[in-house]
Amino acid sequence: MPKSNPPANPSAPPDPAAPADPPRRPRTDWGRIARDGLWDNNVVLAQSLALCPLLAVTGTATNGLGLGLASTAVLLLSGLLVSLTRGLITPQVRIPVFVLIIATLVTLVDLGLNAWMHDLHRVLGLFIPLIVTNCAILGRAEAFASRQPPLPALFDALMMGLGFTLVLVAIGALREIVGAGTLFANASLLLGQAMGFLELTLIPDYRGFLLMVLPPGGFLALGLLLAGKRLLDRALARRRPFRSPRAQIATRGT
Amino acid sequence: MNSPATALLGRSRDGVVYQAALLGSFALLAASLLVLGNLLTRDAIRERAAEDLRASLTQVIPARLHDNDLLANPLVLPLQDSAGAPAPLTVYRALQGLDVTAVAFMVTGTGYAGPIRIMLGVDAHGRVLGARVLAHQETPGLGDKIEVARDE
Repeated sequence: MPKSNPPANPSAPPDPAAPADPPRRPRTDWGRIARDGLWDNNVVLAQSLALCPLLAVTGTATNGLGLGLASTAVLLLSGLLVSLTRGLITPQVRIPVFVLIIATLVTLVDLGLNAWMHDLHRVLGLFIPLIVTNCAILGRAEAFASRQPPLPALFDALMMGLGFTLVLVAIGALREIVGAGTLFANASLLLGQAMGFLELTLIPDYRGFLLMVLPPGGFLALGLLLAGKRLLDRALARRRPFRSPRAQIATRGT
Repeated sequence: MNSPATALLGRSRDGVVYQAALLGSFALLAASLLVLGNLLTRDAIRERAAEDLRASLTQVIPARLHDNDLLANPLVLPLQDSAGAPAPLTVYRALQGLDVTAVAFMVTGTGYAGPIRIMLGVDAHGRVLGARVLAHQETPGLGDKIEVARDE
């Protein structure tokens, strides 16, 4: 759960920054939203959210891609709905309302995929209930969509979803290459036969390194990735002596 | 105007009534959406589940052995598990005319990380025709090669 937005005291007068009363911004900083979602305030790398589904399914890059796409779809829908109803929802009951919206969406997506895109559901079915455990979706509803008009909320959901998907694929690829010597194995099951060319065997006759495929490998890969981002950010900061105060606030996470 | 009653009921969005009505209406909306979604997808999901079952049955019973629909008229045996609880077993029959040429049913074995459910096909002479793993929790990259789709 993001901590940056303490719930308003019910007995206090309405907080001017509460989601019920969205601040009117002169214009939306689209580039900022994109940078936040993809790098500066990335769901995993900066906010450390959504680690439960992340560690559970990133045994292969294909699985990571599947969970990323499914999560992005739910993020987009929940961002739109929360943004559209932001004038109605009061700070006191916003969390149960957001949870209701997200859980309903996930269930409907699960039912719809099962009924009409059954082949995809056979591959993704495992991941869809995991999306409910993804606190990043609740976090974005709370921190962004409930204060912004629908278009910026949709754009933010798209960027956050893409950032999440990129990290999932990166961790999945790392674990798969080290653990099994392949990349995007079974991608044709997820994306169709046309994408079968993605399936690579990078190290032929590799005996496998089971640790990376099992859950501990997820922690190892995530740790390496986080350390890599820190090093890169530090190197960039050294080259640019003055960081804008806004960027520093953003990296502290929401 | 500032009596406790108005403070409780609230003239505005901070009142208890507004909060309760808001949460209640969202819950009602979510519930009706779920009911609608269930009604819309129920038949399609049932068809898909039957297709999956038929696909696993045709893999363990060769098509030349039967001329009926394998899913039609399954036999349900009222078996019991080792603890005495009822554990009915559904047996799907392959018929040629009126002769039973083969049967298929689900068996469960103990795997490394949990039960492994297997669809087993047996012909009239008791010979195993085929077996397909339906569900398991084996180690990814090692034991999960018992799935045909993941076996290289």
